[in-house]
Amino acid sequence: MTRERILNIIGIGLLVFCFAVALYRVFTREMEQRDPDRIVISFAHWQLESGIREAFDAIAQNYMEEFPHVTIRQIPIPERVYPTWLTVQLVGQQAPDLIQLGVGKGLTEDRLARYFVPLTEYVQQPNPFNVGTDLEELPWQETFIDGLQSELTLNEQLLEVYGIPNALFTIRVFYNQELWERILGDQPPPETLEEFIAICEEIRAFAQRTGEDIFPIAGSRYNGPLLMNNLFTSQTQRLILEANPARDLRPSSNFVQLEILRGNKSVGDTPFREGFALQSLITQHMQPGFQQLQREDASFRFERGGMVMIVSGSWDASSMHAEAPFPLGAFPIPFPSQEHPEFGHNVLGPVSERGIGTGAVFGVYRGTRNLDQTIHFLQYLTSKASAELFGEISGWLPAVEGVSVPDITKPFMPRMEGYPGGMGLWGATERSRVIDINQHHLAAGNVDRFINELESIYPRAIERDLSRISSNQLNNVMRMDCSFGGYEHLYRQLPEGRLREHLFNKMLEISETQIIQETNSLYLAHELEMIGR
Amino acid sequence: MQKSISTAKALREWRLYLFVAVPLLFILMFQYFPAASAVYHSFFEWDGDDTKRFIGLDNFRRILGDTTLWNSFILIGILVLANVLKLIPSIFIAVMIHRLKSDKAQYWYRLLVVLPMIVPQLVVLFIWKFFFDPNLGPLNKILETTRLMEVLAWFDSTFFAGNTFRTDAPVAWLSQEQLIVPALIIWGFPWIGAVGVLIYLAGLQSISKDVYEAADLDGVSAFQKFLYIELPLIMTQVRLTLILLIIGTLQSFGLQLLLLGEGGGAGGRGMVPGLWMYNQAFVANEFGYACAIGLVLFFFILILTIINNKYVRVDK
Repeated sequence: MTRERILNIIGIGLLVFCFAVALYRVFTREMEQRDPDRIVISFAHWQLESGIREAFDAIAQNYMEEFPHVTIRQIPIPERVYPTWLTVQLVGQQAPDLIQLGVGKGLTEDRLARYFVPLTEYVQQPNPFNVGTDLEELPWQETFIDGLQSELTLNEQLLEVYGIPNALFTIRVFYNQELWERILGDQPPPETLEEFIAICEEIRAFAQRTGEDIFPIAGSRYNGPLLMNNLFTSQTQRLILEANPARDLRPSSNFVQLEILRGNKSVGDTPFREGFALQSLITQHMQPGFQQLQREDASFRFERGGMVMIVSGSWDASSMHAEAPFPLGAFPIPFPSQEHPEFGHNVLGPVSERGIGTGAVFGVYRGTRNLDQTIHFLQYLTSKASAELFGEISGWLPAVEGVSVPDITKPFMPRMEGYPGGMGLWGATERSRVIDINQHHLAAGNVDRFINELESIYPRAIERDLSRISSNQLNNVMRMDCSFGGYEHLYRQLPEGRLREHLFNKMLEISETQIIQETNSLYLAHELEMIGR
Repeated sequence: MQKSISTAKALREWRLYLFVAVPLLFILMFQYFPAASAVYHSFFEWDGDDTKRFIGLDNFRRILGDTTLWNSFILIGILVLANVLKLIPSIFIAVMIHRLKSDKAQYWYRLLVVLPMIVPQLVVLFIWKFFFDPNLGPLNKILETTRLMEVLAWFDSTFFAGNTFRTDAPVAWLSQEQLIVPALIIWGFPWIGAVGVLIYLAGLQSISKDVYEAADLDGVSAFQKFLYIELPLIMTQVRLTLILLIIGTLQSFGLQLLLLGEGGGAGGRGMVPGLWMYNQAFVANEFGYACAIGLVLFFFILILTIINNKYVRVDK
């Protein structure tokens, strides 16, 4: 046999082998899905931080041991591609049973209503896995710290609960304790913006004096806006309350945006201008060019020891603790005090984290083949025992009431005292885009240029976003007409009884949510028309 | 002249049509159906779900006033021009390899050129992203070590605003408006495309040795050989790569997405039509509008291809 022939055979052999392995994998997976005695439940999320997949795995393992006919499959997807991936899965009707909600701007009301199972009825019943605990008698909903009232769990437009949370998230400034002590001695973490800026300046002076390549804050396209947006909300606390025509203590940035469109307010007005100035001030303490870096670049640099601080959420705590070769500290973002000469007069007071809501929220895909088992697993996942285990392995703050918090997680406990935050700068799709592409002016310290750029394009972005919101709401009302029609048809057929009454209530709920959405949609459309947009 | 054949004769080997039918079906299913679906959906307000609202030509009317889209065509024009210039190193390398006397050397050089092809494009993009990193990237390091940064800073402060290149701060290549287009052009240096080199080499190898011998007898210089013999005789290949390049430049957006993000970077300077289409579909969830942008893009490519075919003539 010639050498060439041997090589050909090896090549073909490898090809056949790989093909056979791939075929076997697909086949066994498909068989598993089709096995009538086996239920496969898959859940997708983007939490690739250290310890999270392990925590989910541990709970899934326990569940599979208790219920051997079920296989739980975890699908971790990188955050950057998650919105696109999810859109494709939903549109292609191939989505996993449980889907993490919240990333990107893709899950509008119409998507929730179209693709997710409303969980309102389920959450009103007790969680069977809480039997024997102090939560035993409580409805599942009330076993959560926020009572499932957060933005991602309860949808106020649809009046339904769509998500079940697994954690509580807060934003903190993480710092390298070793470097902190070397530069700042035993200075405690700052409590006000003034102290924070003074510390940043001290670090910069140290770097200049010693020639060391050290920056106060590690920034990136992800971490920079986290800090910038939080500080910006301190300057719009009064503005957002004043712009709400209903004065119902439920501030919405939509009203401020409409005022901008009407020409009554402008991004050049004092609260905005000072908010931008504050953002610009803080970006001077991040490394140059931070806007072109990704989240992992900033974390990498912080963990290498070249940056004293980094701003991120409590979701990053476990990864940072695992990866940083130095002891880690954390403190809340210091806001300007009311006495601050430049930024104090827009401030109501420190922003409370009472309403921060929950995270790692999972929704149930409407197309799931195993609805009951999926909800059963979700109940198991959010039982007190599982939440305890989850918190222990992941280091995340638990979303379930009465679960003990490990020491490592304590600095991330929400700050309950304070006032509601103002309007953020980043918001819906188009607004976020125009801010993103212009924020380099702030980093360059050019606030006037930033405002000039925004004055010409921001109103158009608002108009685009509001008309999209209006249109989505109207589409949703139309989609709900089908459900309403179906319920009504069934209602007419049924004799008097509990089921008929239940259907009636359901119809009432649908019409109520339709009225809310239609009113909002028409209000926005009318306002846009009146403004001449 | 081609002779027409009778239907009976054409149908005599009807079984052969079955073989063609299968790939044809796949082409229809995976190429023409999505394209037709995009045309259809461009007349709807559609967010990718099963609910859509017919809005006639509204999406196209919106395109007329979409400054982001039209501005992105300016960048595409610049990138097409730059990419045309970037063909030169590939032609040059192909000619150099072709002129090597030793077959073995030719083989090794071909291998060297082709080898980078096995590195996935995504990895190459990540490497370039690292190159542009303001603090750790080699590009700034090279400019600083060679003191070219000082020259650039002097040039910038003398002739321009003086805030792009500075000696006291690293250059943020991908987050400064003025540097985004240059960064997109610098990308891929020294711009030797393996596919291009192979295509030109194939063309060069088909040139008869007699032509070279005649040129030698006439005392033609090496550069004249290139200008009067080689370049005209590989113009078919050049035209092919030109068409592929224009189509590729108009369609591509992966580079901008990875280096600059969905918004096209500072000032939106890196926004190209493909990225805007992606942004509208997957960020704004306006699939109907994205389909309309896709259609406009299709017509642009078609027109440019027709112009290319008509005016970039090959006279042998």
